[in-house]
Amino acid sequence: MTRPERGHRELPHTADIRIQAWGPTQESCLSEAVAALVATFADVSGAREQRCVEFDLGADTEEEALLGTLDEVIYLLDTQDVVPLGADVERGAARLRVRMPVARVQDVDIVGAAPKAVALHGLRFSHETGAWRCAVTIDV
Amino acid sequence: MELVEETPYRFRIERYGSMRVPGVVFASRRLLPDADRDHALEQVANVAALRGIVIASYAMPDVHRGYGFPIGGVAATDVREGGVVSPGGVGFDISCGVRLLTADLDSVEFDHVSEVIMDALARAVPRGVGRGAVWRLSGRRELEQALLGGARYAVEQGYGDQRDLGRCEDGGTVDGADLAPVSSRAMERGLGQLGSLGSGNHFLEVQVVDAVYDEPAAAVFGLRLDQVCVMIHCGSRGLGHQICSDHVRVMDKAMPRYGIQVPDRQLACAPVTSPEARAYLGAMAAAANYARANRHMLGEAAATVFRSVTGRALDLVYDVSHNLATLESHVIDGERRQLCVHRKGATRALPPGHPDLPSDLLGVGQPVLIPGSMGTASYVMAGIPGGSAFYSTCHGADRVHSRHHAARSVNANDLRNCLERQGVAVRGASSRGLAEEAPSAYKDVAEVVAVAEAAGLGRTVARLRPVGVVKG
Repeated sequence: MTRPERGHRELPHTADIRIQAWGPTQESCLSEAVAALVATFADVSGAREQRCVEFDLGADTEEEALLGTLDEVIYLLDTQDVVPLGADVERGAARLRVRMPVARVQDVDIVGAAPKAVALHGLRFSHETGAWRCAVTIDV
Repeated sequence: MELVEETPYRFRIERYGSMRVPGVVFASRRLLPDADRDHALEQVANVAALRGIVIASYAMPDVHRGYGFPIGGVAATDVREGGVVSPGGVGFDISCGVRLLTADLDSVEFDHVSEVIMDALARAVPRGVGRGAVWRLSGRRELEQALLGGARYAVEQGYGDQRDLGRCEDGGTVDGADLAPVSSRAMERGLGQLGSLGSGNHFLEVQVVDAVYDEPAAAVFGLRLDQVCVMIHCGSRGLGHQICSDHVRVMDKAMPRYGIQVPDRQLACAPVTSPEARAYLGAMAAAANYARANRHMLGEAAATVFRSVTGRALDLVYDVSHNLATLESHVIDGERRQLCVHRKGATRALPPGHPDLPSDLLGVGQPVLIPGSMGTASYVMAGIPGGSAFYSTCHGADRVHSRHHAARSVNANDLRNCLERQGVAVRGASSRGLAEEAPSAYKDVAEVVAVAEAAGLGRTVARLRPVGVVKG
């Protein structure tokens, strides 16, 4: 069975959560990483968008872009009680621009422990064999 | 990796590669992590490569794979010899720990009101995803006071009393807290969570003392057979995690300036005397104070429930953290040295007579609180003279199966029914959250405690069985 062009999955990790995402572009891989992170703790199918959060990523490296995107999901959860329904990532003139439609926490089905931090341990984000791939360990 | 059995409860990892000291694993053969699956022993060896590490990289009987440091790891570095501090050696949940309170109530009296109490606790204890807290802070200024003063500030504001501080590690306040290196994001995450459980393996349990192994110590701690207790396991919430993330990333970039290389980026570190380390230690102390105030406020919420339903108060046995780095003075090779002792998933266990103990505990040593996995017993231990690993011991039951595995192999409804049949009332967990914390995902805490005692890391004082759990 061939793997879809873009996607994500959760991998086993003894203590916490490990996610993997891939896509043909860096932007699509970042979008999939957000979906992977959200899927570990929330079922957002059928949830209604409350508003849209937009921000520019002040990142010097691809890795920092990945960390910054996933950090934002955790920050929004802890400070604004909202869960991203997805993420659109676009390359602007100088920076990546991220748009995340979000739903209120009380409007989604919480299915797992809340993510609290992104570890540097085992962090991977690279372009290989025609696709961008990342793997991230999440502390819960 | 060569593992040498020194005694049935102590194994040595011989130095290899960049290890500066050997590894020492306190475990039985059965508790030793599976080298192929867990990688915890490899992490013990990685820690042994830290600059300035002294004597050994230690692993407690509940050691399991973390990131960077293993969970259940203890490592001390010599400050004067360029020793480093590593935020990963404390962990994301800075000053995560356990608070144990007793009720003047026996199990039969509790049975009569258990449903009412558990329902009231479920309403009174904020938990799970997002914001929600016992202490509605008035704003950033009040948060800053809590970061500087910890549980002491909570008492000054009228929550609880002075006795609570005497039975709290460090008197409820970690000295040296600095607000400057606490980021705005950390502050924002801390504003709405002071007095909340969170999720994952954190809990508030009602327990009953069902075995006493050391009567004199139990009496001093305030524990008696069949007594009802409340155990709270949680930490510094989003604020602590943000501080760890921020400072790991700063040190990750700073290491080349100090000529430091580490085998795992989560071991990022800097010399204790460097500006980066001083900033981290100041922010870490602030997060530790947040954790102390957090557990204090959850204890107050539980006390309010017990007082309103039963008319009885809750008394504090002890509050101790198991994720912290502390500057401590120890004698090594006849010389007194200042060490930075990292305990990640390991509990300090001060022996009888230690000057840091409050006077009423001097004769018996420090209480050590060892939570079990959900639905299994928890233990109270005490520090002993000559305790190993800079007076440290275990912190709980170690995971053997991933959350992923547990969530897919355990039916949450079956588990909930099984716990209820065992007399454990469960409140407030998501189905997946419950399945992830299934007892089958953990090793047997009884064996962990027995091995800790046999290995000379403390003595067992009492066993507590759960009768009700509030989970995130």
